[in-house]
Amino acid sequence: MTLNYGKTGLILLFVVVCLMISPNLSHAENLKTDEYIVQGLRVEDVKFDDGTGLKLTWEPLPKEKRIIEYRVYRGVSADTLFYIGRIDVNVKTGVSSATMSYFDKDWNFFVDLTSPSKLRREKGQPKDGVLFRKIPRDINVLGPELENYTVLSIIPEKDFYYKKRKNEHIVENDTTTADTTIYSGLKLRNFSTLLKKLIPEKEYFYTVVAVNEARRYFPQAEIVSAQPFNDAPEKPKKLYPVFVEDLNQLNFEWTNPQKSSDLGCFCLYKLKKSDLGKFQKAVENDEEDNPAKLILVQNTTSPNSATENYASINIADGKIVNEDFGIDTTLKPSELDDYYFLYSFVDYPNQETYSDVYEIEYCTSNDLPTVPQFAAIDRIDDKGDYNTIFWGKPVVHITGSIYLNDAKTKLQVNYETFTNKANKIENIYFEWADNEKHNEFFNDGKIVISIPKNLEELNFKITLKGYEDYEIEQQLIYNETTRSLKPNGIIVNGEEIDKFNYAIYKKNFLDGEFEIAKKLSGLQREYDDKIKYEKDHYKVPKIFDADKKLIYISPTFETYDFEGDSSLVVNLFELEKDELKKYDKARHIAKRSYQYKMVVTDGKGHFIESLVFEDDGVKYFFPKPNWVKRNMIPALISALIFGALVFFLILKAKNGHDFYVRPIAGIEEIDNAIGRATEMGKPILFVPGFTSISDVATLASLAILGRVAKKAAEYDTKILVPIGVPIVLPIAQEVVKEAHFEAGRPDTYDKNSVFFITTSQFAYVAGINGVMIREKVATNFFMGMFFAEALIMAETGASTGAIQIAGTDAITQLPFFITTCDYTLIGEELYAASAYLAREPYQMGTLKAVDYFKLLIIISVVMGTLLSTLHLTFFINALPEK
Amino acid sequence: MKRQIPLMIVITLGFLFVGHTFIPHKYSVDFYDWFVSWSKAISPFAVVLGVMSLWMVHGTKITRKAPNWQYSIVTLTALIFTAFAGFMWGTNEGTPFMWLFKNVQLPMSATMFSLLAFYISSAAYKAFRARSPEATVLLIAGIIVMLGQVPIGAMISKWIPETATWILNVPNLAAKRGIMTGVGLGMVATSLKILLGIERTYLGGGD
Repeated sequence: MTLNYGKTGLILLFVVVCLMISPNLSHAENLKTDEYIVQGLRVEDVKFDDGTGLKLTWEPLPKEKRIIEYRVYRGVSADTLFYIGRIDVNVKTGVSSATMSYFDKDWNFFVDLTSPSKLRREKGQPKDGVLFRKIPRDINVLGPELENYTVLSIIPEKDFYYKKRKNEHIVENDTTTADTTIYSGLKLRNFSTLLKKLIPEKEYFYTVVAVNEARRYFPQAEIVSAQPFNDAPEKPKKLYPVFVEDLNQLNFEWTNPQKSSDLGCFCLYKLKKSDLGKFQKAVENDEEDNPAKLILVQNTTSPNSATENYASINIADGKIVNEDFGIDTTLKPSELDDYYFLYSFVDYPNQETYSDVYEIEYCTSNDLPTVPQFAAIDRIDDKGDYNTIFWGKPVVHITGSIYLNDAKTKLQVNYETFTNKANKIENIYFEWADNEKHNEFFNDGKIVISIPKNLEELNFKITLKGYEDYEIEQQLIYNETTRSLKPNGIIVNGEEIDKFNYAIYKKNFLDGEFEIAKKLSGLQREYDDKIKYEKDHYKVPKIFDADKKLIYISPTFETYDFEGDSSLVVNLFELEKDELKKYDKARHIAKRSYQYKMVVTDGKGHFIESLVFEDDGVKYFFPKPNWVKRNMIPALISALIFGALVFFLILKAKNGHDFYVRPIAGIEEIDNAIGRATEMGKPILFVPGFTSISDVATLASLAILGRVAKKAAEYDTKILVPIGVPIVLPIAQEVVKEAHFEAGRPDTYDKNSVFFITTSQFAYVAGINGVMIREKVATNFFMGMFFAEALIMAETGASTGAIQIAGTDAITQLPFFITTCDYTLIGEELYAASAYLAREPYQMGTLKAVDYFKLLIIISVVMGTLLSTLHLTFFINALPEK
Repeated sequence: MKRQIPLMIVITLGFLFVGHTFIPHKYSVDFYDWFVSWSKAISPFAVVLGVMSLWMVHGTKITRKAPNWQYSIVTLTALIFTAFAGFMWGTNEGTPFMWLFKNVQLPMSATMFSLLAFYISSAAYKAFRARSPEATVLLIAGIIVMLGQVPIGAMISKWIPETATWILNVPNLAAKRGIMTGVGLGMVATSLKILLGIERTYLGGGD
């Protein structure tokens, strides 16, 4: 059989169709569905939590079953279960562990924009199936579910304030609002998200469905149920009790819990050593009376901050007194050795878990770190969402070293600097060995020094210009394992700073307690505290009205009365428009104004706490948005100079000045290349790059396309423009069309000559190669931004014998174009091409402005190099780093 | 008007976005974010235009029985079936769409990409022929850099990797930065031309 085009086409079509339907054929094979039902599904209470968590476990199916996901469903009865989440599985590796788990706990997804609009049965479920997709955004289904969970809604401010509908309704035992008769009704679309928590002691039903790689949903596992219970908190870990003798102060530092999320407070106890047995027995038998005596209660707002917590108690006249908590107990410093100390976690339902007991450690205030002077300011040059806290003098420390020669006599010492807004580093002076010195005037993170052979130890003294009586010491010691000189501890004015951490605490007008913002190493000198803009209100929806399609929430919100200096709760329905604006503004200020304090600690009870930072009586710091990005001012000045140059040179060009423009061979050959195609009677191919219209290279490319297409239209030569980015297509079509109109040949314009191929990079280049070979194009233009496809295109073009002109600003592709194309426009020449071809005063003025500005840059580079060589860094420091 | 209104939009928004670079204020950031989210909405419409263009080009070829029109049938069939598979069964792992992507699209793309290795060899041969003093320098530099990247280079001489690093970090980087400076200025100049309405080619035709 001889193959002609028709037969070949049909065979190809048949092959493609076969390929396409083959996955569906494989799907159709009969599987024994029973073997795909998840086995061993169990659900149990999550330990130590607040009664809102359940844990599901099941046995994963073998790898051979080609499962790609397990979908989890939950409901409050066995006859209706909604999809709540899934665990993805790598189909090739399967699951290596014997069991899989899924935790249904904490605040997580309930309903949002991705939820279906109406109740939809899950795929593969029969008509009487019990599994459904997510809880839908249908009030008739969602509304009744509200009572089965603790739901938290997130409502955008504008919706909360202005989309409300007043409703009088009495909800008994509603603790979420002060007024239990007036509610605000909102449509479901007014909520951005609804989150949920399980209700303690309520029964929940679960099942799991396996889905294979053909996306076949298999029958669900046997439905199981369980109730979450509020458990006692987890056992506390380590406590560090330290007595500071000269201050008569007890310091305690301990680790926060990892799992317990409903902690109300921490309690600290003293326990006579002789009562230890009695105490252990009392704890074991859960007796109310035990011999441990309460010495401190500390409320907590952020129990799960995964950091240490701390407290101090002053012993006055051998007694500890706290009237708020009814503490009045004797504890003489001389008798501290007779006591153990312990602490406990207490949750909201008053369940308490005790730690082990610990002995006291003694120290004096000399052993404690010192709190550096610190300050808080509104960060400049931002949109008003950061406060900056900074402290102490800069730190320079050595991070490592590398031998630069085999004799080990040349050493590169790497260093790092930590500085802040108030204290900048200019010159760094390194001193080592016998008066060997290095003045590091430009901070590049490394110095190269000469050392004696086989040096085992090197002491460095680092001082900074402008910081008197400030000395940093560090040693480099030879390490046999790494065979290099390794740095050890950093001593600043006699204090080992890397032993301590800085913990920044903050509190706004509406917070009850300080909470930790960040814990930083002893080297850090600055912290930018992110303060988000308030956009939403958080409310607990309780009731709904299916007829009106409304969900009701409390119409109140917390704000601050700055005149009365107290927080207050206001009701939306009792506020005039102006009052609403006033209280909303006050709420923003109150929630986004923070006061700060600092704790310096070694994490083992040796800590010291600063006072709350105050600046001229101002305690709260509110981040304000700025109108000018000051680090961009040099760029702005440069832009203005450039703009001025453009205007000046355009004026000059308009007045008839003939600017000299360096001949660019690639551009000059464009006419010849088009002429060659015309003579040969073959088309021209113009590829405008593979980036979108937002890339300036594409814009420059389209400008060149306009000139080339006009010339081609004048010569009546066909131009082909394959496009890889859809958004470029209509623009390129318009450009070519306009070029034909300008050339006076609108009849020769063929819309299909500018055509889309694909967005897939290599399919695109395959398409272009096909066009080159089939259409036998005489001239190829590759203008714009290119990636890996550049060489494939250009080599194919070269093999067809076409004349090729390329232009790109992609540095990585330039070598390929240079080797395979006849002419290449390098970098900026691509942008100059349009002006070069147009020869209009406006275009020439801009082109010359670029040249003059380049001259200014060269002068700046030379000047900066000379000044830096002379240790004058003011010029380079004035320029932004990036 | 057809040309002036788009030009006004480009100039106004262009200057607003230039301002955004220097103004960190919340209003400026929010406006920018809001606008960028709108620009994302344009892409799907552009895809429709692309598909229409593909359909028209290949449809015309088939109806006119242009040379090689059979390939156009394959293209359009693949387009229809892939789109159908995506709309019908989704694009998740395990769907026919994903099967096609993994077993047709990826291997074909990988085939095209692998051709690059041969083309690089061919390009290197052309570039490294010592026809002139410049080409000879390129050849020597190329050999040193290539040897510097592999262990055998260090085995021949410890200076080879060091020289390779020097070539990459000093002359190569200097040239790259020179080009980048020019490209940066060229971009600014082109942007300025567009902002000031000097460069209007991208607007196409119509007055």
